Amino acid sequence: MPTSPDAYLQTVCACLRHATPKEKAAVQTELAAHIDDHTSALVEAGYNESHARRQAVEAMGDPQEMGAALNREFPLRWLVLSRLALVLLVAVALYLCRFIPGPLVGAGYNLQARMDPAASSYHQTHVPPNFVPLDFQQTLSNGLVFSVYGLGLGPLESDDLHYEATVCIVVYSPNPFRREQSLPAVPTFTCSGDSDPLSQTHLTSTHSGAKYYDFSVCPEAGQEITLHYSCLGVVFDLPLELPWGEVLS
Amino acid sequence: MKGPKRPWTRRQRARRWTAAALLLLAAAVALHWIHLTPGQAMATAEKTLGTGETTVFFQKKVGNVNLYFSENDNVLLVTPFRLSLRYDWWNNGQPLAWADRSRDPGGICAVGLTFVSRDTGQELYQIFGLVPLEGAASIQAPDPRTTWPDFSPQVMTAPITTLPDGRQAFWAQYRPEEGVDFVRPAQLLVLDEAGQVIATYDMSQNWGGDYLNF
Repeated sequence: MPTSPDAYLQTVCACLRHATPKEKAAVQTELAAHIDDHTSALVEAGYNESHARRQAVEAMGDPQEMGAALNREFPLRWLVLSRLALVLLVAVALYLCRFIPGPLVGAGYNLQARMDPAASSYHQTHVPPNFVPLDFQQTLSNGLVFSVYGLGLGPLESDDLHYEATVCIVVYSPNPFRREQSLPAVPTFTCSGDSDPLSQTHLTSTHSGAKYYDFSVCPEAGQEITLHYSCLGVVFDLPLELPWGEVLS
Repeated sequence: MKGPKRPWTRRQRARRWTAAALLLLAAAVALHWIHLTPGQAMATAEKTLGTGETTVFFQKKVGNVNLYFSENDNVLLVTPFRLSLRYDWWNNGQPLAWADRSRDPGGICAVGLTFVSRDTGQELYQIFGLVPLEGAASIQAPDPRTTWPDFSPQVMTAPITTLPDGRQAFWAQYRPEEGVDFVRPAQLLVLDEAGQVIATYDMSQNWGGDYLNF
């Protein structure tokens, strides 16, 4: 039987078959502290230190029995389960991390869409000619805000007789971290005195946090247009005054 | 005096880490980041469109995806649900297709679905609709290029059948052969027994689609 604390502790730890190095170190520290406490008590009782230490080690009992008893405290199945649980936790955390950057980045675009959509990078690269700022907001069925922030008018590049009106719309959520920002349905446009919808094209941005739309229609000279929206019970018409004075002069 | 902090036992570690992982998952479900059941996917689809609560009345499996058809007075909604990492199961919760019924809650309504095979690129067109119309026997949904000269466009057709809840509905399907050009229908024609058109329905805005295997 070992008489030195170090040899005793090594014999005990050698019996811990499924303990990790960290767990063995913790056991070693705890047992060493126990031996030190006992040694101190014996020294205070009048033993000399080497004798006291040997006595303290002997009082711990057979290291093989101690090791076998402690080994039962480290069952392999809980080690495997704890490792699997850690893998699961890390996998879930990593998977969920993919959802965080989008809303954080999108929040900036969202706030800009509310305060100054015409200053957005999307609009700056798609400014229509003779741009006139507007300020119209309507809440849609899904809580998103439909904001018409401006329109532009200019002659068609391919055709001198027709004109292209571009209506600039941004859709954003009152909650800046909400992911989905798309229009449930696109608006239609009619010319004054005509109920048939105008043929239209549109461009959209790919920003998260707010979605920009440029709707283009081709009215004839002097015609005014009206925007119509009808979807899931939200219905509104918005007459739009085009800057014909600037274009035709 | 406070003693040294005891390290967690294995059992504590396993339980606490599992609990932490489950808490994260629960938070993700509560935030509608992921959807583990069809009900959750539908709730998110309803929120995305702002339709209000809908009730499932029909279910169909196409390829590896379950399609849930639900409705209320505002909308006929199709929500896909699949638990497959390969097919972006985190996209559950996006409405696949829907039809606005707010102007005519009891009228005809139909949704069109376009699926493209991820493996072969083949297309599959499907139309589902409700036809609460006396005397309706079948539907036709033509390729919109019917007015083109020297061009005979494909027409999707289907008989009108009765759903378990007693309502009249149809399910039309068309899988173009390789090289066949097809444009998804914009108008639905409802025919009676004699083949006469008794109603039309504009479904140009009611299409949705996805990539999957079928």
